Amino acid sequence: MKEIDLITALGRLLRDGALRDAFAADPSAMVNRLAVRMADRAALTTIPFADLELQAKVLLRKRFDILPRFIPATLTQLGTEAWARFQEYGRNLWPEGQHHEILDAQGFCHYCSRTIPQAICQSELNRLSFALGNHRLALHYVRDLRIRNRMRRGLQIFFRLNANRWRETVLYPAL
Amino acid sequence: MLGVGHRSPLAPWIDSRPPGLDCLEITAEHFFGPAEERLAWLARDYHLFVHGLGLSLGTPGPLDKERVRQFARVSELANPDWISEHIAFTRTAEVDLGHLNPVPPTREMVQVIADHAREVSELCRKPIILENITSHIRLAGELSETEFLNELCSAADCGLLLDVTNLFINSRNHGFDPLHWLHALEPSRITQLHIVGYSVEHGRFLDGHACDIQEELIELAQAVAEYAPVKAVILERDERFPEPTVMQAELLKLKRIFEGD
Repeated sequence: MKEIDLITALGRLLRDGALRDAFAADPSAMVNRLAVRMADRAALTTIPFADLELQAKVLLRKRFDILPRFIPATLTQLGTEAWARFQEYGRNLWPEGQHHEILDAQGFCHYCSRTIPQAICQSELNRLSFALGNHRLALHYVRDLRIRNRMRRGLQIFFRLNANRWRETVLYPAL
Repeated sequence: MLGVGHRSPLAPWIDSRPPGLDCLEITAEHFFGPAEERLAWLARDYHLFVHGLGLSLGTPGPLDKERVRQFARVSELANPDWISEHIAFTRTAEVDLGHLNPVPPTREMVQVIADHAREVSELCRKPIILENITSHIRLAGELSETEFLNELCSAADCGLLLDVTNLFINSRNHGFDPLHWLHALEPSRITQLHIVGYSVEHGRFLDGHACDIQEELIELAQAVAEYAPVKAVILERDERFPEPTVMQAELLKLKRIFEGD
């Protein structure tokens, strides 16, 4: 197994809650398992688990703070539950790649939909799914369109202009 | 010079050219992409500094070329006296962690960061200064933190952006004397300061960048002013922006400390 340096090892621990739990149980076994190079082992094994967990929580909070850009209504409906739920969801999961922020928002919605489906704003989830997919056109009937701060029923229409650009339009009955 | 970190919610206040606001620190990443017009407008009215969040100078191996290119473009447009980045890593070869994490105080890391800092400085054709971060983790190494900072500034031939709030928070969370720490630094390297209020949660001090400056921080800033030839001070508020009068009062207080009445 290829040896890794302290920065790489710390990165793995900070993104993976299960790995941190294993580290807490036996730091030496964990640095062996990660194949941390000898020169870095002492610095890693002497990190207090509580400090490691707190630093990981800071990173998790940064991810959480990005969510309002994508799922503001869902977060409003989750209210004070949102942060606690996100910690449960995000502790062992770290979306990566070009669209990692959208993947995170989508993953969180899917996680919450299993336990508190009424909190999920379907029109937001549709938007995330279209952004991440490759369909040229999508049409959804939804009951939670936000139109001028009011919840409305209507049609949500997405169409893709090219690989990087898409548009959304909504149709809803006039009052 | 006294200024603030440029943030969108502060734009109307900044655009009104309030008295006492000499300069702005712009976060390079906020201006990646089509924001050139705004940048040109700000550069016309203010002295600008360019501050980076995500160059990850502490990651061994090559820098992210695209990020450095974008950073250099912002620097070119802003034409700052100097640029700055953190003494930290935000990504590894495997994962982008999205935020600042501590590096070990070792001579090997001095070399990694110094090489990266010189590379960025040369590409931007501007001097670079490096900032101390706050972290819940305190990594052990062959150097003390202040020895590490002194050796780093010497190896990179750069200045230090001393974040007074980060120093205060670390001193509380990790139990050391901030004045003793300050006086172990080479004073001529301290070029710029960051300051903003801290918060406390479950007994831990946090840098939420969302509070007014507390009196202990003013006292620490005063100690820095007496110790080092600081050239610029930036009030670094990111959230829960107060009324402009509150920010102006804080700037005035800092101005008295660093520039006299």
